[in-house]
Amino acid sequence: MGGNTLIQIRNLTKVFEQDQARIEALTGLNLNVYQGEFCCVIGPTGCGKTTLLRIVAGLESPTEGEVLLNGRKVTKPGAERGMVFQEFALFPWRTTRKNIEFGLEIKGILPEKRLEIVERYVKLVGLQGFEKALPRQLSSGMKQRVAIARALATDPEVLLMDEPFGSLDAQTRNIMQKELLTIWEKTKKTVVFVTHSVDEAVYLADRIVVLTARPGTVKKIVEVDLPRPRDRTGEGFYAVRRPLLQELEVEVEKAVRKS
Amino acid sequence: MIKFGLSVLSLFTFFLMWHLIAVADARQILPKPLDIFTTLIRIIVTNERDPTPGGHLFSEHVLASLMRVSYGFFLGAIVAIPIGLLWGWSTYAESVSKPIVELLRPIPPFAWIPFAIIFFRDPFDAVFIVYLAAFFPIILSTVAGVKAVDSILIDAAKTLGAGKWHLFSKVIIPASLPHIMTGLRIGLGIGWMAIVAAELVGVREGGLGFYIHIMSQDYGLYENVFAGMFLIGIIGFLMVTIVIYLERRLSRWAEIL
Amino acid sequence: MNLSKSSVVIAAVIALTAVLLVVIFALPLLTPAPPSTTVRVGYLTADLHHVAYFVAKNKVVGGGQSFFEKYGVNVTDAVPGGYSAGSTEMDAFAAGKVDIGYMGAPPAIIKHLNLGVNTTVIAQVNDIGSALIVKPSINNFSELRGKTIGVPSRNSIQYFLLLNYAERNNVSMSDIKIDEPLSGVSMELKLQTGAIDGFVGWEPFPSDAVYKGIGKILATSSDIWPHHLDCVVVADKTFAARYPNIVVNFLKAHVEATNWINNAKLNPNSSDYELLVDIGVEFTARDATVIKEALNRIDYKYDINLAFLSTFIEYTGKLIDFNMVPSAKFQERGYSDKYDFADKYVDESYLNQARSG
Repeated sequence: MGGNTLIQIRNLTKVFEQDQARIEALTGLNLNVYQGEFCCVIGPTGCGKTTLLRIVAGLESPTEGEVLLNGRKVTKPGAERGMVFQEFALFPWRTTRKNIEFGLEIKGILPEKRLEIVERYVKLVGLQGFEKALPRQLSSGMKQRVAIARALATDPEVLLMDEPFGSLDAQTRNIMQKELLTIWEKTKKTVVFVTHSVDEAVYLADRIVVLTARPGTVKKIVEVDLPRPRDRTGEGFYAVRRPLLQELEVEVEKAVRKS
Repeated sequence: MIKFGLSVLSLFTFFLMWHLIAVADARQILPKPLDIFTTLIRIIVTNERDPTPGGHLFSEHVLASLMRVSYGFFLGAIVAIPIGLLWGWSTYAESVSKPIVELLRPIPPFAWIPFAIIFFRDPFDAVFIVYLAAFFPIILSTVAGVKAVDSILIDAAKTLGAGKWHLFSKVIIPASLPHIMTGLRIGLGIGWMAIVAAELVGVREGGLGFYIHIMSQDYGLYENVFAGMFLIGIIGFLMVTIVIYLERRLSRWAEIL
Repeated sequence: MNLSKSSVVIAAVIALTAVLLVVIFALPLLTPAPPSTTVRVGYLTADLHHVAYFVAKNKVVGGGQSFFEKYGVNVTDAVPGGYSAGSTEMDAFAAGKVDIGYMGAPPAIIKHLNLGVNTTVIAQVNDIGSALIVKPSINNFSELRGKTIGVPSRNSIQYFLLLNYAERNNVSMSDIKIDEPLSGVSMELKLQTGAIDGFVGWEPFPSDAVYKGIGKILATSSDIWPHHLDCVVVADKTFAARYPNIVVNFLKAHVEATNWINNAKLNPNSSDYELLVDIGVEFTARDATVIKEALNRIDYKYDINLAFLSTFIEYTGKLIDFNMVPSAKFQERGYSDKYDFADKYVDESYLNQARSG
């Protein structure tokens, strides 16, 4: 990629202590994320990929190690690290417009300016006409679009996405992947995208980071050189996909044996 | 159509039975439904004055009760909601508030009446009772509302830059609103019952409960007693209906409640 | 419209249940309580006006047997300690808990007319014997504007005295707050704590309040309304119809007791007087000095005479004027006017028999 290093994850270890149990989620994880890249993190269930993302977001703190954004240590959540959740996490009492506005209100941006920004992002995610709808009136795909618009509206440095399309049906999922790429290309954001679908990762990512089974650490990083838009049924696609699936299968078996 | 007919028939039969019992009563104490109804219409339409020099107008009784319940209810809400929000939000606040609330909660508001009557001056004695009656349901619902806020909404808000204050004002409070409204509805219902009881037992300056007291104790005019009782029921029903309407409007966004 | 068999069955079950419920609840109303010859007597708590009852129960007075025993009457208190006010006692009559009772005339009138309590007035008990007591700082009635006065109930004699006095002093009753129902003890306590500014109570509480320095007499009841009718003996008509002899004998004891009291009052140095004071002290829980003072303020009499009837009619007239008894109720009970009412509601026949026999 060759861009600047935006995020540095150094020797990250996370241990959860719950009652008597001690769970090592991540151990000695090192990773760099580069400006403008689309980086996917995949791994077996329970490998700690969501934990990793939450630590980068500042929602959890590491037991050992650190995360640096532009050279500064990350200690708590902030709008410069926007996040999109699998469960959408839209504020149900707020309309589409007001959901997207949320981060802008917190920044103290004046109403007229807010309106302008919101309009822009509504257009970006293709939700014109649904500005006044409440989340319960929206389909899952639309809800996730609102979530993406909301996270982007504050112009974050990085967009963290935790299995954002996991709750969608297969068709909507494919559509959303395409849309996401369009949005990404337009906004030129750095994206860290967690998923357990290899197909999804191969379709979307510039680089794919494979995590081991618990305790999670970086097993392998694969660069995906295929030009976009990628053909899911193409030879090149399979070529990248097959070895990844194998790597993943190994880790999945390890995870299953552990439990 | 049949169901509607059954309902009408059921009500009719009920009043008919009532009428028959009233007629059969050798002591002639139970008033007949029709008499109660005509009395109710009469005291409302003519705004009847109590049969005693310096007695109150009926509207004064109704207003007195409504005012007392309003003051007590709003007071209860103003105190209970903030404490409830803090309690739900902070475990420290919980440790402070919970023991006191749990100690006082099981005491029925009516039990406070003998104390309230001598400790406070009118109208604060009645207001105090309503305050207590409304306070507990409101605070408990508020706490439940806060605790029920999905943590993922908090996470999302944090990643949008929300600090403690914004979390509280922009997430916790709107998210808890449906629960708070439920608490308000329950609190109002209990508060209304409490005010009638307080007026019946001790409060002496007008009110519907007081009206029932003098009509039964002093004058033995039981048509008026029953008329008063029905009106109390009607007013209680109307008040709660209004709150339910508000409750629904403010909770429209909730998919499951 | 076809009704399926099951819905007919359900309807029948519901109807049957309803009928059963009606029968269960209406039955006690329709069947009278089992008859008993023991007279359940009602009176007002610590009301010195009713001392005749206690005199008639007292064995020492009768020289070994009480007057009631002498005339073969079994008595028991309808409720231990008495009722807090006449209106409560009339409610007890309505509930069938009292056979013969002592109470003020106004509640006996009001509740009979409004509630239809099946009673009749059979004798007098006393006239006068109450007073308006106020805080020592108050000197005339107009100062009571905006203040609170305690009374036993809103249909008591005491309340009527207050109405009367207010009218005379040109003070509107809407300027005065009423605290009721209050027992004599509560009245004194509240006056002491300042919760009320005055009360109109029956003896011995006015005298007691003065004695304890809690308040002073602004007006006695005879100041307010000379010779006003006060308490009467009321009988449940069903009881009287079933046991006329018992009622007559009861009144014989009442007459003899009243005579004995008046005799004792005339001879304040006699042992009878001491005994009378003791009886008063016991059932009112007041000091002897207070009782002696209070006895002076009460006129005990049993007669149904013109003076009695004229105040009786006057009360009735006032009740109708104030609309405390709606005229519709008056007619509903079958009376044409207040004279007709006094005529029918007051029954002298038992008293006449008691005095002749």
